[in-house]
Parts: sequence; C-alpha cells; structure tokens
Amino acid sequence: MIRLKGLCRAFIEFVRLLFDRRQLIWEMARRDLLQKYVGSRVGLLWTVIHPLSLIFIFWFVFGFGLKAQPVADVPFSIWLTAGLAAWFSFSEIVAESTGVIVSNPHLIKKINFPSQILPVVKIVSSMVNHLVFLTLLVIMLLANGVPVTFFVLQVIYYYCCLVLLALGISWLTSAINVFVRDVSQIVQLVLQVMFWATPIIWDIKIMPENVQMILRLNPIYYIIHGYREAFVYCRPFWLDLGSGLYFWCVTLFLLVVGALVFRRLKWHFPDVL
Amino acid sequence: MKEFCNESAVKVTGLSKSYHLYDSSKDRLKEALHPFKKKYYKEFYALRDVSFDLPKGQVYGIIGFNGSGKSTLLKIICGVTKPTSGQVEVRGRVSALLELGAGFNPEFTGRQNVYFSGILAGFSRSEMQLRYDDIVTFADIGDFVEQPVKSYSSGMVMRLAFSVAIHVDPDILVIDEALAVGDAKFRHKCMARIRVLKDKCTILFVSHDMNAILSLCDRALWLDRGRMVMSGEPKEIARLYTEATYEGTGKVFNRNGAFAQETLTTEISQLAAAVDQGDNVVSSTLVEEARVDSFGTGKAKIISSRLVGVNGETKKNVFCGDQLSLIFSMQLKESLERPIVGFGVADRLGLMVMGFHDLITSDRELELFIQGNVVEVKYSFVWPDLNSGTYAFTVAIADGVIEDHKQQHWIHEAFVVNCIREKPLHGMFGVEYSLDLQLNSK
Repeated sequence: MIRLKGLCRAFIEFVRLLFDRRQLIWEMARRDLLQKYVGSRVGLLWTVIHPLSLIFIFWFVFGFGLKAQPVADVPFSIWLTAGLAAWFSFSEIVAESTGVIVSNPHLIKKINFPSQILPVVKIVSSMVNHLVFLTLLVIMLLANGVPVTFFVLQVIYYYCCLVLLALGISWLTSAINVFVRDVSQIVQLVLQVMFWATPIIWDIKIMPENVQMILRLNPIYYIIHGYREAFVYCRPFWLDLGSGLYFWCVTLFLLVVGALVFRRLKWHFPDVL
Repeated sequence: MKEFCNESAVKVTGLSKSYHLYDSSKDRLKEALHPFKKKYYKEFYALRDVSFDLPKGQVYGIIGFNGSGKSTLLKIICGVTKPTSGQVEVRGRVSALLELGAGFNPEFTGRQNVYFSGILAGFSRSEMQLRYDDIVTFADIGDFVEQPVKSYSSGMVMRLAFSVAIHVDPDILVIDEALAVGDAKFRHKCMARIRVLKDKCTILFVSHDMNAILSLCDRALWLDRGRMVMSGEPKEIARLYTEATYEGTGKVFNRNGAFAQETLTTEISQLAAAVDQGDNVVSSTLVEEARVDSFGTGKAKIISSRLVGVNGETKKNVFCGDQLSLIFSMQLKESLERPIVGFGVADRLGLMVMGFHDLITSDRELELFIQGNVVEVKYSFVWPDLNSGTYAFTVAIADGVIEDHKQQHWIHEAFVVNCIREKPLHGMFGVEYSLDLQLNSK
C-alpha cells in the first residue's frame, strides 16, 4: 500500500516536471529535429519523403508483387500504412531514446539536469514524423473513397498506449546503455526481429490458432492492431477489453520498472560518462 | 552598505562524498541493480565531514591543492551529484561555471547556446531575448557568436559561458577555476562584474590565484584532501596556505588520511600566533644539495643559506621595506686567493630582478678564506617595492677577477621567499611618486 502511494506521488511529480519544463522540452525537441537536418538541402522535407518511400516499397513488394488481397474491403496499402505508422513511431522512439543519455554528456556531467525528460524529448520530436504518416494515411483513405469515421479518433487512445509503452522501455534501455554500451546494438537487433515477428506487414490470421495466441502476448501488437481498428476495421477499443487489460498490465509494469531503474542509476551517470 | 541577511545562502552539514572505484562499469551496474546490495568497489573519499554556513550576499573563496575536493564540493552544491552522507541546503537559483561551456552543445552556434542555456535555467525565450544583447556584448567574441561552439577557442567558450552565467540573475554564482583560461583583460572585466554582483548574490569562487582571493573574497575556506582545514579571514588563510605550499609538504593530514590533529594544531597555532605578531613566520629552510641545481669546481662549498629578518628569524614572507639579511655559509676545501661572493634574486619566471657580486680585497677578509674554515657571508639590505609573487635566491662563491673567474660553488635558486604586496602592481616594481594636477594656463 505504501509503495503504491509512493509511486503515485512520483508519477504526479513527473507530470509536474514535464509541465514546468515544457519550454525546455519543446526547445530540445526542436533542436533534435533541426540537428538531424542541419546542413541538408532538402531539410525537413525528408520527414515526408521517408515515410512515403517506405510505404511505397512495402506496398510494391507485398501489394503489387506478392499480390496481397484487400482486407475488410480496404486496399492492402491502407491496412499496411496504418500498422506501419504505429510501428515506425514506436521503433523510432525506442531506438533513439536508448542512446539519448550517452549522446548528451554535456547535459549530464556538469550541470543539474532532469535527465528523465530526455526520452520525452524524443517522443515529442518523433510526433512530427508520426503526424506526417497519419496525414498520408488520411489522404490515402480519402483518395480510395474509404469512409473516415469517428473511430479514427481512437488513434489518440492508441497513440497514448504507444507512447507509454515506449517510455517505460526507453527509461530502461537508456539507463542501462550508459553502463553497457552494447544495449543500443541489442535494441536495434530486437527491433529488427520484432518488426518481422509482429504481424505488421502480414496478417495474424495466416498463423494457426495456438501461434496466434502467443503472438497476441506481444504488447506492440495491441497497438498495431488498434491503429488498424481505428482506420480500417472501424471498431471501438472497448470491445477488446481482455487484450486491453493485458496490454495495460504489461505497460504499467514496464513503466514502473523503467522508472525505478532509471532513478537508481541516474546518479551514477555523471561518474560513468 | 550591504544589508546583512541572517539567512544562509548555502548551508552544508557533515557533508561526505565517497566515490566508488570500480574495476569496470559493468561492476557498477551489477551493484546498482543487485537485490542484496553486494559491494564491488573500493572506497575513495573526495569529501569528508565538511560543514559550513554561508550567509547571503558575500563572496567566498575556496582554496586547496589539486585533489582536495573543491570541485566535488561545488558539484554537490550545484546539484550535479548527491552526497554520500550529510546535508546540503541551497537557497535560490544557482548559476554555475563548473567547466568550460558545460551545457553548451558544440554543434550549435553561440547564439543558440545562449538561448538554450537560458531555457535550461528556466527562462522563457522572450526573457532571454531581453538579456541577449548584454550577454553578447560582455562576452566580446564578435561574429563568432553565429558560429558553432566547437570552433571556439577555450578563451571564447569561457567568455561566453561566464557572460551567460552572470546574466541569468543568479542568487548563487559558482565559479570553479574557470577564469584561469581568460586573458588578463577579460579577467579584469569578470572581477569588476563580480564586485558589482556581490551585493545581489552570493558567490563561491575556487581559485589558485591568491591575489584574486585576497582582493575579492570576504571569507575563505581551505580544503585539504576532502576535509575543511579552516575558514575565515582570506588574508590569514592565504598566508597559511602559501606557507603550506612552500614548505613543500602541503601535508596537513598524514598519509593514511587520518586527521593529523596534533601536527596541525601546533603548526597552525604557531603560524597563527606568528601572524598575529606581525609578519615574522617561524620555519626553517636548509639547503639540501640533492634537491637543488648547483655547479662549481668545489674548492669551496656553500652549506647553508637563508634569509633572516631584524631579529635573526628566518623569513619566508617579505614585505617592501623589510630589513633583511641574506646569510650563507661555505666550507673551504681549499684556500681561495681571490674570492668573489655574490647573490641574485629572480622572479617566478626566472627573470633576474637583482644581482650583486663583490670581490674580497681587504686583508682581514682575505684571511678568512683559508682551507678548512667555514665562512659566513652576510648581505644586509632593504627589500625593495617588488610586485607580489615568489622570488628565488641564488648564491655563489667564485675565485678570480671579474673578467676571468671560476665558479667554486653556485647554487641556483637555493630557496624561495614569498613577497606580499597588499595591492597588486602593474609591472615589476613600484616607486614613490607624487601626483600634481593643475590648469594649463595658456
């Protein structure tokens, strides 16, 4: 009971920190984006070109080449893009956050800086890419005459799920990465594997029932599927209460573990970097 | 007239910081996450049981040899690290210069870093806009403010960092030896600005420059190997600290880190008592041949040299106008027919400030230079108005005539003394002068 209270207090403190330092977070997210494209001629346009080209390649290979069929009366490309939008945001956040402490020694070593907000900065800067992706998705929906229903607004709920899952994992990986630099490599590897192991570019139904059950244990799948429910299947999220509950248990667990680990290791950062 | 505030700006009680020295960072990780708290480290105490209370609105100098824990203390006060035990209370906004350009991202321009530093300190963009011009003017780096910081020289980084630090309205300003990198012109500007800031905020200042400590600080703290030796009047502490430096030992604590209470008390109280009397400080300096740079054919050998004051006491610190005697003794291995004695005084850069030599001609004196005798040479003079700093004495005995002589024994920098001048000079020495102003009637 006591621990629960402590956790709640810590959570409120964190939210307050985010609010107090919102200018700082915003500024850092801005810089993060600028830094990626400083000195490039095409500049921020890359944030559009990247997702576009990815969607095109996947559609070409799977939709056109392998002749995948439309799902639920919606063209395969749209079904694909919905899932990809979620995945790319998630993997971008986790991959970039893992190295965020290590790549900012000037903030950690000699000044008093709330390093726990760094993954949040990455989340904010990834929103740009995500919004571009979602905009493309909506354009594709409209272009294909697919109705854009109110269920699309569920994407906000699923995005929150995405962010919180990514945050918990990011705290864990970014903190441990300071000590064991292999972690960033491991994370990259795991993300690669997850991309193929999670039903993102392939439908879960092609697998036998028992395999499907195991696949559903992956919390990321809940998000991917959720995005599709919002854009393609047009189903409300409360219909899948069971998987929702399961997802939140896993996510909250990861959040708490990630936060605790980060908090314990945080004071060692200046000494190790 | 400064308002005396009873409130402390920084209060530290029983502060200790130990660093755990690990064999590898993996061990550090293992320990942090181990459920049974198994230890993998060797303990190193950077700070041990430090306590002090600094009221608002004053300038505090922190001195100590390298490795005494000054930077660690500042890091804890700034909230960069947590203490191992003890408490630290800090009231107000802290602006710190702990390292050149800490918080500066080298890829971004000076301008962007100024704004970012402001945001880090909690200012909004518009608030920083108001201060931006002042910051850039003070830093005086010209157009480089639009260039990425990675292209700056260390002096430019320091100027910009210092400028930002003082313009963010700090309640507590912490400066850790960062000023050492600036040129004299900028350091003067900084000192002047610090003097202005004194009234509004509390300043903690780490330096090895005794002149800066003496001229700026209201109070000084002396740290040695993690412990606080003493805190109080800067003049007193600077003198005792310089003493400890020149003793060559600098050991206020004995080797295993135990507080050498006895030695410390006797030494310090002796020195303190001596300081009270005036400026005659008791200590001994015997020339140790092995340590010094000397040469000569060896017909005579200088066995000791020292500088004494009016009452025969050995001088370590000298002031303009002091009546001094340089006394050195030599053992004559062989008789010298035409002895020449001399001495020289060089400043800390090795520049010879003054030097004298004398041929011994009178019969009475020549009789002394017979084989087997120990001759004592005494030069009595008044210390001139030299700039503060250390001065080294060279002593020598030669044989021959000025145009053609052989050095029998020349000891280069046999010992050093510290010249103290209350107000720093520009230049090597001072003179008496008078200033007259009148209208030019033409």
